[in-house]
Amino acid sequence: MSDFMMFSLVPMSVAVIIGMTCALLGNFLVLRRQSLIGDAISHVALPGIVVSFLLTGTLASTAMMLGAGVSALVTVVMIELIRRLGRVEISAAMGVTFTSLFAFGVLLLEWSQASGVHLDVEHALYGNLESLIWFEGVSLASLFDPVALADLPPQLARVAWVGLLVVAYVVVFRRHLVVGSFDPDFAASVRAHPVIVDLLLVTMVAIAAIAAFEAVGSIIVIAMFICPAAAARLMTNRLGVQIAWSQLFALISSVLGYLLAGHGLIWLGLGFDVSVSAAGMIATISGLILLGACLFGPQRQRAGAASLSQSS
Amino acid sequence: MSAVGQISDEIAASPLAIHGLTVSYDHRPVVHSVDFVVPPGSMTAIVGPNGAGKSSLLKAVLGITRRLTGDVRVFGQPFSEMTRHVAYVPQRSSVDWDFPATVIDVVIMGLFRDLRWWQITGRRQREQAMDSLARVGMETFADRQIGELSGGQQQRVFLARALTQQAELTILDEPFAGVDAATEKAIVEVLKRLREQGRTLLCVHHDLATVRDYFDHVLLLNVRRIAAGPVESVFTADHLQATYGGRLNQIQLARLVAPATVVSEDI
Repeated sequence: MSDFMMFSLVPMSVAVIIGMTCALLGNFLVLRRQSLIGDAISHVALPGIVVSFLLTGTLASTAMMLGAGVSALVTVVMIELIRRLGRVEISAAMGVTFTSLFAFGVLLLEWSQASGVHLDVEHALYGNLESLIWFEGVSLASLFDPVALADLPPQLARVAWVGLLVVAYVVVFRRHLVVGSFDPDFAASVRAHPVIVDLLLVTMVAIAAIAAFEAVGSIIVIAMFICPAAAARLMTNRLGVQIAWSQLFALISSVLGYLLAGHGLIWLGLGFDVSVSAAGMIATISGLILLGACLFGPQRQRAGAASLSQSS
Repeated sequence: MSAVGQISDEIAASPLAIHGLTVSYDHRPVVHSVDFVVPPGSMTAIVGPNGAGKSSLLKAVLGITRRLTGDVRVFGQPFSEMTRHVAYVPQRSSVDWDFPATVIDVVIMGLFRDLRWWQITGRRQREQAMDSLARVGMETFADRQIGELSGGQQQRVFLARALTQQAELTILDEPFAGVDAATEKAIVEVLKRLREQGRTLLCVHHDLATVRDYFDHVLLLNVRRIAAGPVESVFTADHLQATYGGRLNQIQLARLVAPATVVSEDI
């Protein structure tokens, strides 16, 4: 029990909060066919973090978050510029922007290491859930011990705040989001400000992506945004129900993924001290859930059926 | 002086007065310097060939796309202060009907401006929406997924959403495009009933053969305003020829502009 409190409670809570937060936003990205934006933003967090490290020389979280935030902003502007000036569709603009900025980040990272400083590439890519150890978390009583609670890894509070912010945004703007996703022209005509709400959505995605970056790394964030929401869309034709499914899927992937990464191979009898990346396992589980929904989801044929009825 | 007074009286009474409206995409004007005053209580058609800027004009009026220049007034006030008085029915093909929503969800969107963020849509909103659905004959479809509807049914749902807005002016973009004859008849009935209640309707319309049957006023548009006014005086062979750049043949024209030869309608 004390092992669980010390080594697993915090990483698992962080994974669950981040997973559910990203999945909540993911519902609207999927409905707006903007799934790539989450990927774009999470990738460009890397150059932002490296640049902030080169400028400040520290790995303090605030500086890194700030750097990631600035680069997310740069990305959004760059995507719009490429789309307008190059007259290409948005997914092409995103693809160009985030791959080139990510590549730039990797080069910067290598160069900074060559010049004698250390920033862990592996953590940037895969996150470091497992390192969120609660040293004072020795028993259940620690949950009520202020001294022990003060020792909680700061990432937990940070992702909790981000989660609350995102929930507040979705609750306050739920009608704007729905009307703007379904019918942007009508939304503009009733002054639902689809453009502003859209920008806010991208901002929320950026904030969630940066918070997730620390926990699960840049590669896997896209799975957190899209897999639960895409799988949920295949379960139902009601938006409210879809959101509920996405939250359930995110919860299952986070908890199951974390447990399997730590203990799965042992349970399978493959060895004792073998454990794999929790973030990788969480993404794998959410991918498997999506696969299951594609094969068995009750609404999996809707896209085909709709296009058939359109043409008839 | 008196002429100026008359014009502003007309504009003050009009649910939509447009002055010098220009819209351009990529430095090419798609609507050029259009003046138009929609008479109150009228059913007005906007008619013109493809690419004449009909939808662009509507979107610029509604503030959906930006206008280059021009003044838009609703009952003499700037449009931005009067948006509550205007309902909009976009082209049916402009939205994703695969969206996870039911018919009643879409109709309740018409109440967007009446609901604050802390309010929950309850029985009162549902009743209002059901009322609108009944007026377009769709009340039994309330809980259907919108993707299951036919084109005509989708158009009726859009009209029901506009009805819940209870606006003085309803702007419709090609409401009869791709709908069956029964739906077209039903929609025309709903629109005519609105006009009987003193409401004003402005409608992009592509079927020249029905302009005389459905509408009392018409704006002929091809980037510029070609002509505007009562159908019987404006919907003439010369004006149509000017609007369509000589692309209509004489037999078509003769049939369109002479009401006697229009197939009689027994509705």
